[in-house]
Amino acid sequence: MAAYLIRRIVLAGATVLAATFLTYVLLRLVPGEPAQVILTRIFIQDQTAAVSGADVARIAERFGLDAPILVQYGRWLLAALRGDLGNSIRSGRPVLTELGWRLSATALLAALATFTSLALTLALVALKRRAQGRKTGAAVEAIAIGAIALPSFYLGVLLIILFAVRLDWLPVSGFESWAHLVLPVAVLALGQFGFNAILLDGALDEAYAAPHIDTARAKGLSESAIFTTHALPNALVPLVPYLALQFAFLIGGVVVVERLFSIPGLGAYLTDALDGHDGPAFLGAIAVIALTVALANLIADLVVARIDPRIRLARTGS
Amino acid sequence: MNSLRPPPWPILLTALPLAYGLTLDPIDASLRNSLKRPSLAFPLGTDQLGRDVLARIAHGFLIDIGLSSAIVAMSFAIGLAVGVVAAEFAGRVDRALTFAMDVLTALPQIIIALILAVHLGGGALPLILALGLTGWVKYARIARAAAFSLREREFVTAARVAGGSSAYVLTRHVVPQILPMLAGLIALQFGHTILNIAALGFLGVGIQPPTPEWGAMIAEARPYFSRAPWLAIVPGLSLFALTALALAIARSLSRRRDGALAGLLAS
Repeated sequence: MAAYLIRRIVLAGATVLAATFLTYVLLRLVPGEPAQVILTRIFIQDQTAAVSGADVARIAERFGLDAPILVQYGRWLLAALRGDLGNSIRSGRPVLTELGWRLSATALLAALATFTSLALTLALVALKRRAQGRKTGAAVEAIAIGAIALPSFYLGVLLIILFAVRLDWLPVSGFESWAHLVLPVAVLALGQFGFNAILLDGALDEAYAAPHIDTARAKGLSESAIFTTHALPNALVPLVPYLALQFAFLIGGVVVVERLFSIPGLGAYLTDALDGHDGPAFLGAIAVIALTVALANLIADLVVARIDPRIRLARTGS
Repeated sequence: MNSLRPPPWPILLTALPLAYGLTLDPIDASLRNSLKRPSLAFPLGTDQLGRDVLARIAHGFLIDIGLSSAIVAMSFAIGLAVGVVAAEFAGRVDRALTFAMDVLTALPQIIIALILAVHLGGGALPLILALGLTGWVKYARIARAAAFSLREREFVTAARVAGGSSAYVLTRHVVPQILPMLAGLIALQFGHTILNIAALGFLGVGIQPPTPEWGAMIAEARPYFSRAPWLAIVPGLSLFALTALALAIARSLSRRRDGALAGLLAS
C-alpha cells in the first residue's frame, strides 16, 4: 500500500509539473517577442506603437525573459514552490493573492454544483428503479442524454432570458448574493447530471446482476432496502474515480459559466489573463487548476483503493 | 440496425428548411431588415445586421458538421496510433504515453484548446488543430486497453510467429479488431466536439464573424436577449438537436457492445 501511495503521489506531482511546463512553453509561442508584447500592450497600450530595441531589451531583462526557456521555467517553479507565483502584469499585485479569493468563489460554485447534480442523479435513478417500466427507463435515459447535449452556455442564456430578463426573478450577473448563485449552479449541475445519471445507471445494472441481490430478494428484503443497502453502495464505487475525472470537466464548464454570468472566479481570471496577455496570472491559474485536478484524482484513487481491496491488489500486482 | 433508423418525417421536416436556407446568403446584411421577428419572409427572423437567421443556421450546420468531422478524424487517428503503439511496445513506451494521457487529462480540454486557439489565431484550421490535438486521449485509452488484451490472442501470436513485423501485425490484425470498439466513441465525440466548437465560438476564439457558427451566433445575440430572444434560442436549439442526435447514435452503437454508453463516458 505504501509503495502504491508513493507512486500515485509522484505521478500526481509529475502531472502538475508537465502541465505547467506545457503551458509555459505554449505561452512563449505567442506571436512576437514576449517582451515586445508586454511593452506595447501593457505599458504603451498601443500594439502598433514604435518601440526602441533598448526598451524591449530592458523589459526582457526586467521580466527575466532573456534567459533560456528551461531556466525561466526553473525560476518560476522554484518561486512557485516557495508560494510565490509572481505578480500579475496587468495589476502588479501578487498572483497568489488574486487567485486566493477567486478560487473560493469557484470552489463554492463547483461544490454546490456537484452536490446538486448528485442529488438530482440519485433522485432520477431511484425513480427509474422504483417505476421499473420500460417507458420510464427510456424517459430517464432521454433526460440524461438531453442534459448532456444541452450546451452549458446555451442553457445559461435560456435561463437568463427566462428568469432574469422576462420574469425578472433573479439577477443576470454578478456574485453578490445567494440569488446570484442560483442560475450558474443550475447550469453547471445540469451539465454534470447527465453524465452522472448514465454512469450510475449503468453501474446499477451491473450491481443488480450480482448473485447477492437474488439472495436478498429470496430472503424477502424489500426492493427499496435492496436498493439502498445492496445495489447502491456497489454502484457508487465506479462513480468515485469518475467524479475526480469530472472535476477537470467541471473546471472547463466554469470557464464558460463564469464568463456568461460575470462571476469573478478562477475561470474568468483565466480568460481575462489570456485576453490581457498576462502570462504570470495565466500560468498561476493553470498551476492551481492542475494541482486541484491532480489532488482530486489522487484522493479518488485512495478512496477506491480503500473501499475496494480487489482494485488495490490488482494495481499493486501489475 | 433498426434502432438507428429514425422515422422519415423529422428528417424531412428539418432537411427541407435547411436546404432552403442553404440557397440564401448568410452574410448579406441589410440594416433596413434588422431584428425582424420570425415571419413568412424570414422564417427564423433576422439578426442585428438584418441577416437571415435561417440562412445562417443552415450554413452554420455545414460548417459545424465539417469542422467536427475533421477534428474527430484527427483525434481518432492520433488516439488509435498512440493506444496501439503503447500496447505493442509496452514497458517504457507505454509508461511515457500513459503519462502524456494523464497530463492531458489533468487539464480541461477546453482550456488547452483555448490557449492553442488564441496562439494559432482565429479561423478553421487553428480550431481543428486546437481541438484535434487535445481530443485524442479517450480513443487512446480504449485502443490501448483493447490492444493489450489482443496481444495474448492466438491469431495475433500466430501472425507474429509467422514472421510478421510489428507494423504488419498491428495494421492487419490488431487495428481492424479495435475499430468497431471505437464506433460508439466516435459518435459520442462528434457530439462533444460540436459543443466544444460552439463553446470556443462563444468565448470568441475559433471561428470568427461574419462566418455563421452556432456558438458565435449565441454570443453575438447577448446584447439582444430582451428584444430578440430568437437570436439566441434558434442556434442553441439547433446545437442541442444535433448533439442529442450524435449521442443517441452513440448510445445505440455502444448498446450492442460490451462497453455501453456509461463505459464510453467514463473513459
